[in-house]
Amino acid sequence: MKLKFFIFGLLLSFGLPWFVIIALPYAKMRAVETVEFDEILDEKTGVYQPKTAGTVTNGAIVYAENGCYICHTQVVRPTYAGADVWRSDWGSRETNVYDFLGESYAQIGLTRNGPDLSNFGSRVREYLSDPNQRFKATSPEQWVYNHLLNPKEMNDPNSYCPPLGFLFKKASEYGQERKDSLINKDGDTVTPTAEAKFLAGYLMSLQRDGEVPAVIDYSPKSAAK
Amino acid sequence: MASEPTLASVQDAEKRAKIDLSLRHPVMFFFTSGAAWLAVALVLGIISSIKMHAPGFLSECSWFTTGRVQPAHMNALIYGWGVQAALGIIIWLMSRLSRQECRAAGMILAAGHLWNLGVSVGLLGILAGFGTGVSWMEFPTAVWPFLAISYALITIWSVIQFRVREGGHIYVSQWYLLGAIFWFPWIYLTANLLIFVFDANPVFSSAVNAWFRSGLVYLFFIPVAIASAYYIAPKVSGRPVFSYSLALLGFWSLAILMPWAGMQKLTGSPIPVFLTTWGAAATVLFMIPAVAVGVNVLKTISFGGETWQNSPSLRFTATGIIALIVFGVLGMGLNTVSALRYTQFTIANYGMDVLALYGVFSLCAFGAIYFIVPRITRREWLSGRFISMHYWFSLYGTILIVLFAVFGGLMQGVGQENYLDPWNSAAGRGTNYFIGITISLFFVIGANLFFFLHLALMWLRLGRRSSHPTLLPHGHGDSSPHGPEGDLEALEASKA
Repeated sequence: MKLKFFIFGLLLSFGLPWFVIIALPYAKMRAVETVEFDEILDEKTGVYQPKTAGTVTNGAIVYAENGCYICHTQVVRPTYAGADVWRSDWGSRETNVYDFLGESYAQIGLTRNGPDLSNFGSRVREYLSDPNQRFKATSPEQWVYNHLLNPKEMNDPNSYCPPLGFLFKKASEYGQERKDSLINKDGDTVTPTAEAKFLAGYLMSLQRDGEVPAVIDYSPKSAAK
Repeated sequence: MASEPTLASVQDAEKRAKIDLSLRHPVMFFFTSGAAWLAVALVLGIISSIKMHAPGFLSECSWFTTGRVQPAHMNALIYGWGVQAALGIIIWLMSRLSRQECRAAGMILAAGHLWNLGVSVGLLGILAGFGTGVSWMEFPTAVWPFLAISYALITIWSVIQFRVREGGHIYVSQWYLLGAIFWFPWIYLTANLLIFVFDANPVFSSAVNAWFRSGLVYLFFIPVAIASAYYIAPKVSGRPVFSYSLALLGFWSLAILMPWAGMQKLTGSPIPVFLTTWGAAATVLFMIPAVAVGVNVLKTISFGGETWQNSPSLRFTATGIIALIVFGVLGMGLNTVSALRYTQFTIANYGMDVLALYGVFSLCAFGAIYFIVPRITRREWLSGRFISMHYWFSLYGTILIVLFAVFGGLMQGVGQENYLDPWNSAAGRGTNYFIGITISLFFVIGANLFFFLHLALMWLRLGRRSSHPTLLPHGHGDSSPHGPEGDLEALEASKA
């Protein structure tokens, strides 16, 4: 094979896909058009802006540093790709691009050793009124903290989730017991550190059960067969 | 092989010896430090695998939480072992094929130390909780520019050697080496710049990461493994490469198809759908280059003879190429649209990664190492049995990991798709397979203990001086690698 042909072939065979699947989509997706609610289809007006409340940015960093994306996903796939949408507690709608607009890197996730977290915030708030929960939490944050501290005490006694005890510190022996104190597996009273609070705030902000403009709502309307 | 040595062949042998001598320090450096990182990676791998089914293991220490030790394992395997083994092979092979001595050993060694420093800092960063959260790119963001510079300072010399080669035919391995040398910086820089430096859409950043992970396997590690195989197979078996047309097909199908692959890992995410479907199609079509290369190399080896039974390098290389065919076929099965829903978010992907990084790349790299190290150190390996143990336990371990992970992943996928049952019933499906993977990793670690000890002895110049190579033992009553059994005086007397 002649060297000139080789070099040309290499440049073309890599350059074309690089342009088509990397450079072009990068440029086009940098500025995603905003979508508005339609007065007739949605019976409301306004720009579609999923709320990202709480300390999302800092919490996303703690999420990334501790590798939660290895076992948890944050994407509800359309029906051609999976049965995710049919799980009602996962939000009942497909993930859209606006769901990640506050973050710098979308933690789509690698595996589902644990459940999808797209709608985790809503799920936790529902757990508070669920009498079947193994752990009776007094607030959503307490439910989250206890999951970070003692995963096996929560819904799944065989959970693979690692206990993140290092996100908690021993509570002071003096003074009143704090509202957010928990008991760890050694029986000590601990309270969440700032990192735990950021992470809890981030996780609680993951809610995907709000209204979506009809023009971008592709979720199936009828129940699954 | 027993013809009279001509002046040309003697001069050729002298030239080869000179080239090997110039390559001793850089290449041994990459192989030994790569092997050290392999040890680290495997230990981290066992810890992270245990944590999958026993998450309380070592959980008192934040450094060993699953989410840190798993990325540490992959990054050590890829950047510590994988890239360094690949660099050792690239440097040696390009030198030999271009018939140029290595004239920049000092700079290559310095750059190699810089690479090691980067990997060390990066790994400590991940374990201490400063990982970036981007898969296979978890080193803290300050590290990657130094790795990029180090890579450039090492591989530029191989490109220069190729440029100044005495003209003529470019051998197949050189296509793959040039390809790998060119592809790695392009995918590495693209991924790091678009994800960490420039402002990209967050979901598209994730897609670029998926493309990078795929590119690292198909456009760097596998081409280096193939380059090594195309050199070792004809060299050791003494037969010419089976088919030039197949070689062309294998190379160009890989070069044209694989840059499209990767984004199928993000099927269903809010990115343009064609990115995911074309990615899946390219991954499925990888079967073409895999089978083309596989048939070409295996036909070259010709299992009729005895060489493949005796030669360690040929045995490892042939197995690596068989693994390549298996990887191609499995990739075809697991990446179709109907299969993806069951495998996309499961440990099946880990099984495929292990098959590619260990089954294909590492086995071919071991074949290359068993071939190259005696030539650059001018000592022979001490024990055929060590090599044999390394081979068989690696093979068992890899086959088991892949079986457990792929089948376990499918089971996880079936559970995940069963939306009528609550999540808990899907959750526990993986446990037994995680345990299986842990046990299989012990096989792999055991195999490599023999390798580390053996390589360390060679590095310490304790290999045996001999003119005949160390061969694999087979059958009973084998002669020792040190020569025929018996009393030295009796042997001398019988020779006289």
